[in-house]
Amino acid sequence: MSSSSEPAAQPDPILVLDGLTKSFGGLVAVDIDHVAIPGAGVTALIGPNGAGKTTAFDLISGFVTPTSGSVRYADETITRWSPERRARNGLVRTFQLTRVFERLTVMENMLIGAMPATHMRLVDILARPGSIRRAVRENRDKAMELLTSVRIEHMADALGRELSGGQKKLVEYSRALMGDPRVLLLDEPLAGVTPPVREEMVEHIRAFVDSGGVIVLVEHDLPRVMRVSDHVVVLDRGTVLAQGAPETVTSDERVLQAYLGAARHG
Amino acid sequence: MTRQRIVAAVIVAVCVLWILGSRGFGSGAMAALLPVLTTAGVYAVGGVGLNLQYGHGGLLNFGFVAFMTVGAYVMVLLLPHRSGPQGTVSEGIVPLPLAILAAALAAAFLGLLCGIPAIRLRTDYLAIVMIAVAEILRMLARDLSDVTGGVHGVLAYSGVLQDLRPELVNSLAKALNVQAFQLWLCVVAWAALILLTLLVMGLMRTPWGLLLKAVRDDELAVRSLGKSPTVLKLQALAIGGAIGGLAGGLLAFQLSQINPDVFIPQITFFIFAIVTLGGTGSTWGPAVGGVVFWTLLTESGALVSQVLGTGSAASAARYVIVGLLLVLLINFRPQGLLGRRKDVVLEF
Repeated sequence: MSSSSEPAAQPDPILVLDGLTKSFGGLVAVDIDHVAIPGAGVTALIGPNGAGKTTAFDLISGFVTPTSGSVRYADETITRWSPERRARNGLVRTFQLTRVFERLTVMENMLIGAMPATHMRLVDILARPGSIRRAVRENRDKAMELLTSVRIEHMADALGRELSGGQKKLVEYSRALMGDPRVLLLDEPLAGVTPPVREEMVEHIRAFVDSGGVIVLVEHDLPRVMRVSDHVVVLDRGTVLAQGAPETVTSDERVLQAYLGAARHG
Repeated sequence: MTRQRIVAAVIVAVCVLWILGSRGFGSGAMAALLPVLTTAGVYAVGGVGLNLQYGHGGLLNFGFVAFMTVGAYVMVLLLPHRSGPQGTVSEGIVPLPLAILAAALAAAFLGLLCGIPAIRLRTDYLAIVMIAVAEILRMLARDLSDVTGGVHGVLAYSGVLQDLRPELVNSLAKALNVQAFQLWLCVVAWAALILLTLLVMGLMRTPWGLLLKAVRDDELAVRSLGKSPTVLKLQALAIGGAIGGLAGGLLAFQLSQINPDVFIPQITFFIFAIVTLGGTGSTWGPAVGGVVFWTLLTESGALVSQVLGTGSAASAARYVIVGLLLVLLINFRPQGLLGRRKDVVLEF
């Protein structure tokens, strides 16, 4: 299980997975020896169906606890952190099947993403209603700005369930941005949306990275991945097949065989 | 939305007129209306608590009566009362406001106690845990007869509430030709109902309320955004429980004596019916639902007995009628009188 050599100019890694495994019963879904995700740019987690991409994602975001191994984030071991603690510390994820609050309006969805957890506590609401009101007002403005930037500001008062699939993707994406994440974990952000929305998503992803954020995304469409990512990790049957710059990885013989071969027949 | 409110107001007015009309609008009509309104108010208070847990927070609780049991017993046992087969007289331990506060706190504590083990499970498990807790409490109230008076129950505690009756109520009762104590009960129940409804309305407008609704929609998404649903759900269970405790206290005053058989599981389902009728997750739904439900239950009985004659068949028939109406309601208008259809149906 060797990996291709890292380019010399890579920034310090922000996420490091070491000896990370997850088995469901007897099935080993993920067995990652070592993965370092650079602290800048877009890292893509790719691989054929069933390669363990989503499980790896769940392990990074804390929704699944590993059988063994560790996850390090910004020089802290976060293996045992709850998902909410990870999110509060700037590691925010989206879902493959969007999870927009269906019975809340788009604006309310955004507020849930924006309000610091401390401002939604019962004690604070009773103890300092004034500052809570101010926080809501400020976050409303911020939400409107973000919704305008993804061009769905006209839907601010619509209920989550009234949105189209593409709009849900955009809402989930901007909702995740409301909390000013350091690392954004996007689970198939380009799948299941119309080509124009896909183009927009790519723009948003680039904009977020250009402003200093880190994006880790799961995709299985290779050409799309090549366009957006700076660093690629290839998974196959739960293990890391290769990692490095897109050009290096795609010229790797084993990747072509395992990944493209599987894609062609699968 | 406004049309919905007008329709709800008209239906409430029709209910009131129905009760008054069935007594021929005569001198006894007001006297017939008061107990129904009081019962409606008391149960609606419970509805406000259940609506916070179930309507807003999505916490399925099939043992809501447990909170009322605890609230009622804690309150009456702290007040001067008589209990047991001999009617043993007990001194009051605390004044009425403190007894009411203790009732609410005890019920809130019960919410936490049941919630901590059950809340991490899926909602249907919470429902089953709560139904068991409610029955256990009822059995305990029966068996701990030294404290609770057992099957003989507790009585003669209502004096402290009636002592607070203002002169205004007395003269108003005289003018309306009704019993002063009945009017006072009704006033207290509805004052509590309006106050608690406004309290929950205020809570639901805060970010805390928003987060509670988000938890009802999707817990995983809430966690992915850095907020913990567990504490929030416990709080909703405790606050809704406290309101249930107050409803229990009010019920105790309304009945003027309580025993374990008052707090049967049926009460939980009456309150579910009230919340559903009024509109799950709506602000004033419990109040409206309470009036409509109790009017139907009392008056349909009278209607049936005119056809079938008095007897057990007639009194059973009213439950059939109310049940049938509820089935029709769920089918054709799942949002109840004041709810949003989008909140309760899965697809458009």
